[in-house]
Amino acid sequence: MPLNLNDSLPQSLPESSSAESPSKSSARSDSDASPTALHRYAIVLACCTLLLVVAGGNVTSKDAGLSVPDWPLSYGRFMPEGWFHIDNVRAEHGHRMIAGAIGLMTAGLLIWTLMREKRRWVKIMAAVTAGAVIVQAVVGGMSVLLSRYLPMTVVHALLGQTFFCLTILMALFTSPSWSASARIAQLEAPAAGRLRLACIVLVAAIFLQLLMGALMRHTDSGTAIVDFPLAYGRVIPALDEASIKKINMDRLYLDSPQVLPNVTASMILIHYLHRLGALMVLAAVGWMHMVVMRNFPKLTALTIPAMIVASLLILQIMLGIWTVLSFNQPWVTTAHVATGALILGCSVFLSAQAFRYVRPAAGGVTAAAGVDPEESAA
Amino acid sequence: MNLTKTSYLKALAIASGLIFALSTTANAADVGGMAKFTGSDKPKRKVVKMDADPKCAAMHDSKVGSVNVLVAKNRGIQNVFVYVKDGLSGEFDVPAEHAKITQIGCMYEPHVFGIQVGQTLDIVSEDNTLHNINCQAKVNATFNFGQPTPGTREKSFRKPEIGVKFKCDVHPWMSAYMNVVDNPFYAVTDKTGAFSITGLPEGEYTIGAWHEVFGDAESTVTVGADGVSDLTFEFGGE
Ligand SMILES: [Cu+2]
Repeated sequence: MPLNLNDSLPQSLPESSSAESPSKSSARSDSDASPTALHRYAIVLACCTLLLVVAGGNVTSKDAGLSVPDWPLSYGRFMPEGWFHIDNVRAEHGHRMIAGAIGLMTAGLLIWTLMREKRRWVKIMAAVTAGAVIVQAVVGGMSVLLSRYLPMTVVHALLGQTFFCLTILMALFTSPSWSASARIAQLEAPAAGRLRLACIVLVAAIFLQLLMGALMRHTDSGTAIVDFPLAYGRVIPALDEASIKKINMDRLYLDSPQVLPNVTASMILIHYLHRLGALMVLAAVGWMHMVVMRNFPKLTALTIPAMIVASLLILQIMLGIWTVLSFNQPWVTTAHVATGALILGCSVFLSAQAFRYVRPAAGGVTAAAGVDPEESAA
Repeated sequence: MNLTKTSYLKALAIASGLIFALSTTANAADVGGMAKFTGSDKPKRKVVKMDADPKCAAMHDSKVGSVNVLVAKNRGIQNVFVYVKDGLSGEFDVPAEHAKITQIGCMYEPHVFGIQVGQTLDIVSEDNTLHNINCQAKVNATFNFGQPTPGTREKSFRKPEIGVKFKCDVHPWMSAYMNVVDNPFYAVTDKTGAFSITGLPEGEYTIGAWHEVFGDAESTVTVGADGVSDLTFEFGGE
């Protein structure tokens, strides 16, 4: 059952996009080098987008979202006076400026792709990415103008990380290895169906966990449970009125650096669901890891991202615990958000690779575009 | 002449007696008492760290303490809003004088206050740094605007609402609570936890008390000519 790799697999195939030979292509003339140059540009954009996710996460960690009450201007100006010296204004206004830069960079990516790229679907992908950044900017502005109206802020959080994934995909799709692999046959493997399913489950689980995390943060529920691994000393927290009252009394005596908000049953529940979500993601990552390592141990295009996702998850769980025990110390919390974004991004990357390189065994009939009729049977 | 004088005096006496009697039946009495902490240990105040805005930090020579729970030595709780929840009838004039909340030293002053429906609230900044006033009303309209320089903005509120949170997102430690009521009979407990609602007509009332952490309490009182002086609201469990 395991290891159905045959030697038809080319050596170059497993190398993923980000590790290209550095100096060669930059010296080439523009038109000649454009696929590689565009690819590099897309990598830079993806890295900058991670910075933007950090900056955005930081705004919520510091509860600075409304510290600049107007939009698109800041305190009626392009650059509010003294913004750099006031923590929260720096966080929010800085986030807006970084976002503006990313917006321009994304426009650049779109124009460049439309000019140089031959594959129609990659052009469409670039347009979707550019569209996403525009929608994201408007949703961000609305979040401010509607005083952090919950659906707006949550959508802003989800769309931000979705946009990050789109930039990663753009970097991957414009990579020479991706184009090169078009010429090679996909690896046929009986475990392919399971791999694809594991990838879909993984991305879905992480996205759901991202949703829970965003809900938690935007309902001020990050400190709703202050102990770990138990929740107020219990496996399942008590949510009846008397218990909530007692919990709020007990919270007055905690040694937190800041005044903690009163909690409600729903805040505790949201926080608790994010903890359960971590178990769900752990299971999904574990399964994906098992499927990859058992069936494709030599396909580094899969094993490397799989190992990165697993390692990041361990880091992420530790950061999550630290976030709780530090009463949501902003930089710890932001690191948790950033690592979450990286896990999502790497999982999307892994999934794209998996769908690209591995095809279910056709069983006589040649399945043309990798659509697998037997997936459920696998 | 004599007779008329006597009867005149008599009439005067009766009239004044009548006025006295009338004024006692419609007498205005005071309702006073205190909000008391019944938990075991007094919660400690936290030090408000203002280094997120150096201008704020520079405004204080000594440490600033958190103000969400203030319990005095006598166990009185400060900043409990006490108001007539039920029992009043009729409409009350909207006071011409303005209520006021001031941002000073990167704190709100007062931390808890009352205002009548329709009354003007002066939102004042005396600080030479950026503030935003983020009103998180649930019944009334919300707003969020910046006050980057010292000055005053006016607002008013249409509906009664207890515990409307004001916060500053520039300085996350800044919060205040406004209570909008439709009558002038309210008070905020002082440092010793004491309150006094003055000029309440005789009658039976439900008096409500609200604290930002401890929540709601209420008590039914019968207010007679002498008023009520020992109404106690207990918070903090046990
Ligand atoms: Cu402020």
